[in-house]
Amino acid sequence: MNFEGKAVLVTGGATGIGKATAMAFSDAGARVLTASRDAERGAAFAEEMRAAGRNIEFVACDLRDDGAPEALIAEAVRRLGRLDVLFNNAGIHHRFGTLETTNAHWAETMALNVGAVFMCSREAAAVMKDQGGGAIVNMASDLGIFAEPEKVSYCTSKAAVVQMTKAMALDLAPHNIRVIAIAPGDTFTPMIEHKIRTLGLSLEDGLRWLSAPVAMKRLAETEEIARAVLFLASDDASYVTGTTLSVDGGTTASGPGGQRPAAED
Amino acid sequence: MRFDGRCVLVTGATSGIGAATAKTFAAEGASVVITGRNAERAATVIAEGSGKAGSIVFIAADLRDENAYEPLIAEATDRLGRLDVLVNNAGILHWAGSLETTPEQWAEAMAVNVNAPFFLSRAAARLMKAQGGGAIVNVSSELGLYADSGTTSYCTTKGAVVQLTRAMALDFAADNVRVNCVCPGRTLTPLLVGAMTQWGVSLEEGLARRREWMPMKRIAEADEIARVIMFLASDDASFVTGATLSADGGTSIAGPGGAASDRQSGAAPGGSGAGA
Repeated sequence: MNFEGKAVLVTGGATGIGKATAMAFSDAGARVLTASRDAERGAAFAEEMRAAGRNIEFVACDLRDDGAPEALIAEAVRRLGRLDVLFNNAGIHHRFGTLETTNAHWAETMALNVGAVFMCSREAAAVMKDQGGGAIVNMASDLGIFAEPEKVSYCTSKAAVVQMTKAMALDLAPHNIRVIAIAPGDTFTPMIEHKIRTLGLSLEDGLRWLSAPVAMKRLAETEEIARAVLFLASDDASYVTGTTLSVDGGTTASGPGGQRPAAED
Repeated sequence: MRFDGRCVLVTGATSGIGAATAKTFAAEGASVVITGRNAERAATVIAEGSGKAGSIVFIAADLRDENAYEPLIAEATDRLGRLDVLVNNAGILHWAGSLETTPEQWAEAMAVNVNAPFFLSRAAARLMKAQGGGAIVNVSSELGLYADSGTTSYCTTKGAVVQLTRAMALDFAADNVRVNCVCPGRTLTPLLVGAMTQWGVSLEEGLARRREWMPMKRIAEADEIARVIMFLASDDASFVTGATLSADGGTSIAGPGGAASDRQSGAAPGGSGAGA
């Protein structure tokens, strides 16, 4: 996949899937701007990329702020000169059930996982329309397709992304802008590592526990999600729009028993 | 190249999406076996696809015949030396509604569209498991996700392929054999052109009619579906299994009104009201 001459914006791009995707786009020839609300980590990331000779810039941006999506897209166009691909990767995950979820949890999840994705996409689409086309890839989740207990705001927001992707794809198809979502399963990121530590497990035990229900018996590497994002954003996917691609090692294909054969029940 | 040294079997590959897929695999370095019923058309695909990085050979096979499945995998593996990718592309479409569908049409659709992918995949997966891995891509259809009137057996069989994909993906996930499915929308192939001829509609008229409700205002080129199949078969999709990937220009996500908005139909301007 070749992104020579293409300008790419990745939100939530200083760590995990965002970082791996930014690097993959850069390796494929794109000029990349990443955004993250963590200015310190972002600056360190930008320095690391510069040292590695990669064409990846960083801008600090908190997408929960009023007007931040509009300002971010304007900044991306200012720095990159154009915008061919937007990867809406930034998101927040509050692990609380229905009774424990506060108004603040709910509002923050909706603002970042749904509102900012819409606003960034709308602003980017206006730029892409004038350019003659583009591609927007939204970060959904396997939890946008099925649900798990004690993650009500996250599950709701990711399902909203799946449906928003369809609605935007129809609105933007006449302008040669494709809108696609990706629904990863658990991926080996700093966020997952943190979750394992929080649960008081060793990394090995934690990964075994998280992999148990996955048909492929392992988590995704961030690079595997990145390669799927690149495909969806590329001309190889020129007739793919509005859909959600599961990249989850078979998790969504299986029922609540996971990979356990029915005979063992 | 992505498929250097890889051995690939594509069924129903003497025309349309299968032919485009075989040629693209060969261009990316693969050794390809194509199957079909028409040796003459196969020769054209071989002529167009060979001389590039990989190679294409033809094995005649009629997938309506249940005795053809195991021998086909055996012969393909014999010719190729191994089997890394199976693309279950062969399919049959009868334009017949529930009342018109004959027992023969029903049996034929089930045989080619469902039985063949199952038995071919099972035989292939056994080999792939022994080899340490592989990838199977089933070609379903947008009509595996929503239905259309007047083609009951096709909708039923293509829906079955979606679920067959999930079940087989789970059975072989631990063996590093990935099973996925692509659901193409209307694609410019002899199958579509033939249908229009049968209805007495010119290609131009037929395409213009479709453009009215298609979100992207065009049908797919066979190459566009081939490239999606290539992705699912490639290492780029290493964590993708049991998935159904629509390549339909947005048709399966739109409701029955297709791409037409209320505004276009004159019913309502943009505006707000109470939600339903």
